[in-house]
Amino acid sequence: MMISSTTALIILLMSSVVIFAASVWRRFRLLRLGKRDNRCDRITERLRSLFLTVLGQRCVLKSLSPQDLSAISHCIMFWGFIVFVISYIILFGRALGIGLLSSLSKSTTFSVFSAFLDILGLLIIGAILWAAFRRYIIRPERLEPSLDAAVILIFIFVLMMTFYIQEGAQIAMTETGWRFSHPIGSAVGSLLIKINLKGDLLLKIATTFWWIHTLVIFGFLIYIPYSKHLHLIASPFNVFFKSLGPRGVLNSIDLESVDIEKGENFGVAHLSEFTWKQLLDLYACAECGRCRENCPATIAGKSLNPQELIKDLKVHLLKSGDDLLCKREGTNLNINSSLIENIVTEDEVWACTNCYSCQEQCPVDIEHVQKIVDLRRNLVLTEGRFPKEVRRTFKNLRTYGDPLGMGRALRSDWAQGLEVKELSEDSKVDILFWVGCSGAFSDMNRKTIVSLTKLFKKAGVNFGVLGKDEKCCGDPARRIGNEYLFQKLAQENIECMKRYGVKKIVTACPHGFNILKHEYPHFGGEFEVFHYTEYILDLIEESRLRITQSINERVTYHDPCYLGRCNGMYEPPRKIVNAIPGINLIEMNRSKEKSFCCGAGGGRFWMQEEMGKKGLNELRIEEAVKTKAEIVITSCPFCLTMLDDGIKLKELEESIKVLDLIELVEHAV
Amino acid sequence: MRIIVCIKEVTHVYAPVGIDRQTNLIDPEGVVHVINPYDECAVEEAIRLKESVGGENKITLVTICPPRAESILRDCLAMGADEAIRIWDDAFQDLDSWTTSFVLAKTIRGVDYDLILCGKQAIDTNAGQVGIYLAKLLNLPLVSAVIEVEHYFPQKKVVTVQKIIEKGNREVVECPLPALFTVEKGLDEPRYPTLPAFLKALKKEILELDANKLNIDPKKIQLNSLVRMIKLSPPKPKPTFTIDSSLPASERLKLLMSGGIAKKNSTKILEGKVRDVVTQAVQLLIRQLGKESKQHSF
Repeated sequence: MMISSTTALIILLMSSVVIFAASVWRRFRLLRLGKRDNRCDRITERLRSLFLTVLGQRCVLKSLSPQDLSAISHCIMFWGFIVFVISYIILFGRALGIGLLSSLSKSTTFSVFSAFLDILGLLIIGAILWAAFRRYIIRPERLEPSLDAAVILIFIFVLMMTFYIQEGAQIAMTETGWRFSHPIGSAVGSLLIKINLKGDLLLKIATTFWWIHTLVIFGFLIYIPYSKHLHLIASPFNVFFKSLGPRGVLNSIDLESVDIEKGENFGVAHLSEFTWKQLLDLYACAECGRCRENCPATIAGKSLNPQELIKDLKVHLLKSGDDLLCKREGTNLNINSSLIENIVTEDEVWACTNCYSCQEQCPVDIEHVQKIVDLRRNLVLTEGRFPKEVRRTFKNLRTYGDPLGMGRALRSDWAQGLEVKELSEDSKVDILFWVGCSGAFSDMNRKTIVSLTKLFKKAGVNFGVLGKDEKCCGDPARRIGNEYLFQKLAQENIECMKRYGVKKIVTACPHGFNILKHEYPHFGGEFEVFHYTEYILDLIEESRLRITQSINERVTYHDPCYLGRCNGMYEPPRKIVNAIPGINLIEMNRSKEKSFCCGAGGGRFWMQEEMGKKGLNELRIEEAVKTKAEIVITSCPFCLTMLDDGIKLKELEESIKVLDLIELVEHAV
Repeated sequence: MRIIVCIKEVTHVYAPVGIDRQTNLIDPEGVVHVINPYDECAVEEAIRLKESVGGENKITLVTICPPRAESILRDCLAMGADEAIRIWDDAFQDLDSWTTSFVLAKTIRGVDYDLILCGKQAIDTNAGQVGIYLAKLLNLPLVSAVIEVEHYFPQKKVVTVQKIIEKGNREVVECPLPALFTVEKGLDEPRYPTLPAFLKALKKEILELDANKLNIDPKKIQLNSLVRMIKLSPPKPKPTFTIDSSLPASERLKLLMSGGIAKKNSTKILEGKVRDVVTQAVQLLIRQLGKESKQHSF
């Protein structure tokens, strides 16, 4: 039918493919600005996650909820897109007269396929209309009514409409006016016949709409790399190359290898200091807003907005990428491309609580936290710029080995009268109990570790503590970006534990747990690490601890980020709570994967709240109050302190209180 | 401008040092050695001056301390000082302010300088004399409690400085160079060294001097001491009422600014005759105690 226009079609096809390929190539070249990072290990695991997350659409289905049904329309559009792409390949093949494809297009299987395609189109139109209605009329919090989104929706809508009209006109020209392979097209055809369209006019309609359809496809192809729909291309790769390790782990800087004489930076000050994978993250962003919707800092009105951060970096990469490429080749060395000040503000960088909520919710596995920490590292290590109050924390860590500046002499005071074994006296213990700085020094957290000690004794656990030899695990230093300080502390702790031949560790704090379990191995500290929730649950299940008392209280459980999201331990603490008779556990609105950070993570505990902004702990307490619980339970000393602060700030001391899980257990045993 | 900063390592800090509970003596394990905070401010001031004044600048650190003080010297080098001199001799163990300044003066006479900065006092002895004696020994004008060197006029070789006087008022003083200033803690905290600077400072050479090199007779130096400590008595503990320390700092500030730290628990002023007030107070306490014991149980 279109034989006369074949040349035009070929020219258009070729030119749009060339334009598309050129812009994709440019983006690919920009990726190579980034530093090396080997992401080609564990291929089968990667393929599996690619298959499930992309083809299986787990990316969006994981956030499917009665409030947010957008996943369904995304699935329809995604699978529809795949099917249509296949059909386009066949149809263009036919139009261009490629033998294999045109013979395929005449087979029966193909008619079944095109019937399916026909119906799928209708579903897509439905999904498009609904998506447009949602985005522009309902306007859920997370979606922006942007022009970019509108262009794409209109594109797809026009594609589908022209697809049907063109098809209908063609079918109307035939004698029967009905084709099994095109149920919807046939319906449109009979509609066209009904309004008395005949012969030439139908042909003209068919031709015109076929061309509109084709041009929109080509337009789409050209538009993709310039829009948020770049995620169509980038996100499958991003999912494939994602970090496979446990979530809450930061990469380490090899401090020895940085050549300061050459002016090399610690952390990231310029785009080209990100790894290529971190740059790929930027392309993968679909601007779905899930990170923003779940970021505690954004919710509390702080400067940070994870989606904007990624978008700003992407815009910057596309804008200044060519200059950067030139710079790398050494021709243009005068570009001021420092990210801080120009692209990202310092407040933004410091507002992050490293709670990993953004990464948990991100459908395309963008890794926000590492980027933020990389920016922090540059500010701290190379620039020496960080919130003033943190200076004291750093100095304390360096001088005394704890962030509070209490000194090692007071570290084992909590154990006075409890007869706790210190490894320096007797290192033949099964378990090293890692107390942590907050446990050792803060009055509130001391209760927790005293309870834990009593429980260990009750269960007959042969345990010991490092006592005065223990130092800060390094979590505050590392998350704030002081990698040097962290590595020093980590090395000292590892050396000390190796000296005593430590094998198994139980920690009282999820931050220590995460860092000892996942980050110490990188520095040669391979230990078996448990958080007390796991360990106590085992003791209860083995009946070494018997719960005898019932507690008749309405409680709610606050998931610490580094226990829940970072280590997937949502169930052990809940199992412990539910093992206590009489207790009524009510979940907060945001719990488990969606748990709302208390505001202490990422070293925020040691920083001031942004002027005039509400603390995250206040928001969390508001949420806890809604459950009508009398006690908020948590299993992290920082969460405990923050939530207690929240209660005091809201003056709710009379109606609600916060307790560590272990205190509850001690009471019930 | 060539600046000399005299610094001292102290073993006492704001954090409680370890007390051995058996002997009631300082637990040597719990001792930390840090730079005297006033001296750190002096270093910071020197670096700021160096940054604001163009031309050739050099900051030289001088300290009298055994080898362990190298770490604080390197910290200061990382902050931005250029070179360091460490003076030590076994005879310098227990120098008083007078002999300390004598040794410092001997050293400094061999160095070119326009300005000497000292901390206002050291937080271990609280004497605050070394700077003053040093100015006398070197015959220099002295300005004490300086918080900022404002301007430097190279032609006239004159600086203007801000110094703190009572009630937070400040005086601007003009002083010809060379001079000696003792530095008071300013509003801004000394900078935290960057890692590259720190790594570079680790490689710097520190000039080491001893009694011999300084032409000081180690036997005589102790005899020159003017004062010596005869007794040390610890303070009596005094109960202080402070804001609930578990509150976030911003909240503590808010409470302070709102006029009363007791506001949180609804302040009540009892009035009337002494007898009535006492009765009321006792009742109040009983009520409060009852409330607290309720809170502690489940």
